[in-house]
Amino acid sequence: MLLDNTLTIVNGCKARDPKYQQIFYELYRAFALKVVYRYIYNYEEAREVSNDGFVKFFLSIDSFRYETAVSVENLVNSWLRRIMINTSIDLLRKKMLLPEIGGITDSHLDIPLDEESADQLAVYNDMIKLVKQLPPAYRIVFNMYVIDGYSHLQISESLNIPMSTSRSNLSRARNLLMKYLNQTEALVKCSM
Amino acid sequence: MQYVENDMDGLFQRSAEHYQLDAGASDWENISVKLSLHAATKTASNKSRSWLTMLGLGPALFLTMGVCCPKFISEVERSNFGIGYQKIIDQQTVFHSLPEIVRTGNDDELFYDFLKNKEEIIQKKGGPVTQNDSVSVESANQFRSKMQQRFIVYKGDMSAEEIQDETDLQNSINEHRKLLLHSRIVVNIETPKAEIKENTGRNILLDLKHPLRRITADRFYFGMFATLDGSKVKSMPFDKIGFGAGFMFGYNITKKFSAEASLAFQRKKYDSYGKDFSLNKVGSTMPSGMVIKSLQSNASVTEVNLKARYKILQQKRSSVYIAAGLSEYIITNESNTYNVSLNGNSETMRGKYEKNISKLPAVASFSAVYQHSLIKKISIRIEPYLKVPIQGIGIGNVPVTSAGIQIGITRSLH
Repeated sequence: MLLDNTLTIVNGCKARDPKYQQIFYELYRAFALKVVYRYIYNYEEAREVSNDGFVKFFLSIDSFRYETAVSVENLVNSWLRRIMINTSIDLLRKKMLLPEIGGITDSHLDIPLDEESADQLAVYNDMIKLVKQLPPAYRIVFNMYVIDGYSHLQISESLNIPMSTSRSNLSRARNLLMKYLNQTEALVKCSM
Repeated sequence: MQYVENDMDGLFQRSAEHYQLDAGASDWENISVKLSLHAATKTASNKSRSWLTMLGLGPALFLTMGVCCPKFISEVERSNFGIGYQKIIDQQTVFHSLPEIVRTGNDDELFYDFLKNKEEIIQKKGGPVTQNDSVSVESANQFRSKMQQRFIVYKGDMSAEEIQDETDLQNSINEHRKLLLHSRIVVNIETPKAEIKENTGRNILLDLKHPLRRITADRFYFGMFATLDGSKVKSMPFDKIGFGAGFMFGYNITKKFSAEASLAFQRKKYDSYGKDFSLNKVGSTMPSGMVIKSLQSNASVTEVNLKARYKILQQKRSSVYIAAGLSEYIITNESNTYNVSLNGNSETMRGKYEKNISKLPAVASFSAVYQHSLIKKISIRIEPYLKVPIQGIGIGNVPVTSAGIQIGITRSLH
């Protein structure tokens, strides 16, 4: 049923039907924003980038191909993810990968109070905040390699940098994250 | 935190998958507007591509012919021009037309009609010529013998030949006339400055060779032009190109100041947000509860422009002006495509409107003009401009800002 729905929505989007485009947007906007927010520091900017990503998606959906109905769901996910990542990278490039200023507000990282695994979710949110604190050049490579599964070759082609730079940026990102984690651990011990 | 060190990548992967982020309110309206604008732009750009090609090729071809191939100038022009000579003179030059002396102003460039075997100024750049001075015949004859002139004959194939003697010049012209028949030969006479002392003690320069019989200042000019015009409303981008053509008429008030009026027929294309569109004139014809999100306008506009120009740079054959003025827009036809929200549904509506005259004045115009004299009285000009709205135009009183380039050709009148 879900597959049928996805297929119908995608076909509706291909036909440029605003009704299906809106349904698609409402279904996937949370997913898209979560992808973009890992790359883009500022929440409002992340929303803008996510919107631009959807516009690109709808404008380029004619080139979206699928072989079977079963593969549609996964293909749409990975295609939308790729568009969102590319759109985010475009914005960071425009900003010359300069470090952002201002703190990360907790208000958008939302944890329902009645959730049983609230503690676990809090840890996840903290991890994302750590990733966002990385300098943009390290953050992009870490996100692309560790979370989104790109290879160093793909990263070097996407960012137009040597593969060695991609590897070193990843290594530095890991070291920084480890440092952040150790600092957090020390703080927790002190408070105890 | 032990597990963190062992499986840091895994932890971040799980975090990216499960972290909780407030997606906020839906931004579908914004995306919908962007999509509709993109679709409209794509359609418009496809339609205008052929027009742009024609509009771009026309002036380019014309200018190429005008600048590079003077021999393509019409037979009528050529017969008027015939074998002429062009004289470049410097400041404080005095033309001697015995028994009277006529003085020109500064930075003049004079052309004579030589074909008809009579000498008269047929174009003059610069200030008015006055007859307020005189030099004795004796003084003039005294310097006649000392005058040295250098003639440069530009042949029909634009090659040049330098001749020192006047007799040789006439022979050369006759020879070229036989050889080239209808080809234009321009003789450029460069006269070294010959100084004499006037009774007043001022230094003046004499040209004793060509007596002057009639002087007419070319104060009036007229011409035609074509424009490529980008229009936008407030924060909307310049992403559509309009075009137009028109006529102009001008008057040189002084050497530097001129006034110009023009009438242009244009096609303007612009997008605007619904908030910038006033419903005062059309609100009653629209369904209740309807909200205009954005619209694309395509309007036929007759523009009446009045402007003042000031010359900031004058070179041998080129000049640069800055200009400012006011325009009135008369919209003869307006076609709007509205992207609206009606009862929660997005729809597209279209509206066509007849004549609509904006209140005076609609826009203030600012421009820079580069003008280059091609031949005789004819010049070409390139004029980038910016038009800032003073009042809204069209059925929705939309404040339209325009920027573009105007390419024109002008001819001086006597």
